[in-house]
Amino acid sequence: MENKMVSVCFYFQVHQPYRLRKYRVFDIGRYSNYFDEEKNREILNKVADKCYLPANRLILDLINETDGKFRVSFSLTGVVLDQFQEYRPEVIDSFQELVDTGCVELLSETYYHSLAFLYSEREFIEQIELHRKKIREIFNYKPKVFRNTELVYNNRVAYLAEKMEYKGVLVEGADYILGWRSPNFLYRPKMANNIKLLLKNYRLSDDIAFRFSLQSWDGWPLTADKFASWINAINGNGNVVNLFMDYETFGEHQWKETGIFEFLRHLPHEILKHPDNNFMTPSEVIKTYEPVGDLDVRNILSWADIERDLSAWLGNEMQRTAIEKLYELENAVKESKDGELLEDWRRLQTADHFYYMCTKWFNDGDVHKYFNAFDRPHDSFIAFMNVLEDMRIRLYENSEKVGMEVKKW
Amino acid sequence: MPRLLPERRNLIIIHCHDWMTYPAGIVAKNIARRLGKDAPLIVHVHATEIDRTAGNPNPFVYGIEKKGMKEADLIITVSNYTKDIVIRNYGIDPEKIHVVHNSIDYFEFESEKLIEDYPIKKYRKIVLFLGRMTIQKGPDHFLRVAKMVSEIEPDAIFVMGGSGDMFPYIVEEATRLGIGDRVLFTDFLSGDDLKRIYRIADVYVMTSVSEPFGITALEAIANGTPIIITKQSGVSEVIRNCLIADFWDIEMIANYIVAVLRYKELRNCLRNGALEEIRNFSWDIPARKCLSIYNDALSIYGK
Repeated sequence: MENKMVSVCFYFQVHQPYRLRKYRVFDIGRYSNYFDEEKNREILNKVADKCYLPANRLILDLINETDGKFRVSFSLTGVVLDQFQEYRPEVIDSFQELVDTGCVELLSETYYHSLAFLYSEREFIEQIELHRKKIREIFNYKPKVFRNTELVYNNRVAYLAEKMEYKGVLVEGADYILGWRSPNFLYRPKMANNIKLLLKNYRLSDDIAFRFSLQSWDGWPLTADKFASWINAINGNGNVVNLFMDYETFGEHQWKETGIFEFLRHLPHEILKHPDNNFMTPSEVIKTYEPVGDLDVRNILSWADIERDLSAWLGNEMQRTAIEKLYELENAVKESKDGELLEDWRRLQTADHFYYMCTKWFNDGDVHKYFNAFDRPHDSFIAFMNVLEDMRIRLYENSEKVGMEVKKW
Repeated sequence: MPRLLPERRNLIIIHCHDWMTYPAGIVAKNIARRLGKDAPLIVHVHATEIDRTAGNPNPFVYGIEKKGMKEADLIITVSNYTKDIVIRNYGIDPEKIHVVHNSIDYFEFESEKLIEDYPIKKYRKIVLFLGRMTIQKGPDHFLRVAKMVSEIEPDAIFVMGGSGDMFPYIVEEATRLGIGDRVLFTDFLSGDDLKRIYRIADVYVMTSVSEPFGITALEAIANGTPIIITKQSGVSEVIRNCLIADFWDIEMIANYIVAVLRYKELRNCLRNGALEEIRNFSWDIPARKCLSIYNDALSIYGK
């Protein structure tokens, strides 16, 4: 019977922001090149070599070795695809090869990996549509399942996803949402009858993504057969184990030397040793299983840090000011009909910029420090606000040109 | 004081501070040795001639420093920054150098009851320089920064507290730069006036070219003022909630000042974050480290 089965559902997030350079107050009105092209190119190439290319190669091999039984899904942001095209087109080819196997699902998200959902539904929907268009252009593919930036979720996300004809949404399996319930089943959102929710099994996901090389962890060293035995233990108690993580886990967050690629190389075979196990992509999970209950999420949920909330992006007043001032410009930017301005404004929405301003140093702050493009959170705030000031000048000058009435800031 | 040192007869430790005391320390050690006593010499480096002269040392002073450091059994520096200078510029073995960061007694500021209104803050944003007006502290850099900031922040004024050999030059230079009316001078300040000037300021800027530690930065924080400091300073090793630039990067320092003056969110994050960091600071901590270094020194001579 089907309910004895356990399906393993992998989703990998692939994203790189356009990092800002140290834009100074004296650059305002003089230069409008906000992004550190050299650094972005360098990081993209580094991660392509350490993670994207070797991991894609390995996953392709595994799909072939298992006759297509190994299946995974990816969410590629629009901004990472843009950077691939600009700096490293072969990475696109390598994802294309994966998609061509038919064993790889692509998910939908906001083009700019933004938090637009929280500030402007109009912009949120426009970005999803831009992303859909990009995925169609590159991969000739139409995503059916939606995941929001950093798994930011509440009932409203499901409602909007249903209106946009998605079949499912990915959600963090946070304890305070699930209570005694298990993340290893599908759930039904409040207010959206045709959407099924896939909940991240954060324990097993984080065992790979965060704890894999942690020698003080009692699960260390994590081997493929050990991990498979944990999956097998769910057999009979769940339908699906959702393993959601950053793709950069492979080779970037966990270096090659930790054995992460060896782990991945053996994992599908170990999991498939158990006859009741299989791999599924999110759409296949949605087709196969039925929800076991309702999930009512009113407050915003995310996949970050111990709090699973927005404090990593909007926890301090610098972060809140920066993002509020950015979205204040939305109407003026859109009315300006200036394509470059709109593109810059949208790139500034990428969640990473606000993450870099996080000051939660003392608990999980170390992670933030590692991923920070700037030395200090205050530096990223300063650069960001200087850039906003320059955008205001561009808006003002633009409005003079077209004879439009725009407030002079 | 609890007994933190082993009880030993013939116990002598010679701990001297900066170059003026080194010759006496060396002599004392030799006398003790002739008397048959163990007398480890510890030299405590609060500043070097390299710092004070911004890299153009007086060879006489430098020679005394070097001799003292060579003769010392152990060296204490007030920062890793200074430790590096002692290694690089004086050729000292890193093994015998210990870092003991300076501190402040924060509890004294916390119980402080100086609550005043400063009417000037309604009209002006105040950028503070405080320190001896010598080449080490970079008062000339501060003026160039002030010039840049004044051009785009019409409400900003610049207060320079302290005296020193460069004072006349700095006053004249301010007028030459056309910001004579924007730069105000106070003489050396102490007591409540010192606290007042920190509190009136919207930001404290330490422009030092080479600063072994920089306790004024901690005092500014304790008085609730955000700080901008140079990378060439020891205090940058113990405080994270600050803005930090190379001393020569005038434009970056100016950029920081403008941002702090413009955005209260930034001021609040810097102020509150830094206050949180110094909450447990006290002179007890470096004192205890020194005691444990005394123990190390004694162990060199065996039991």
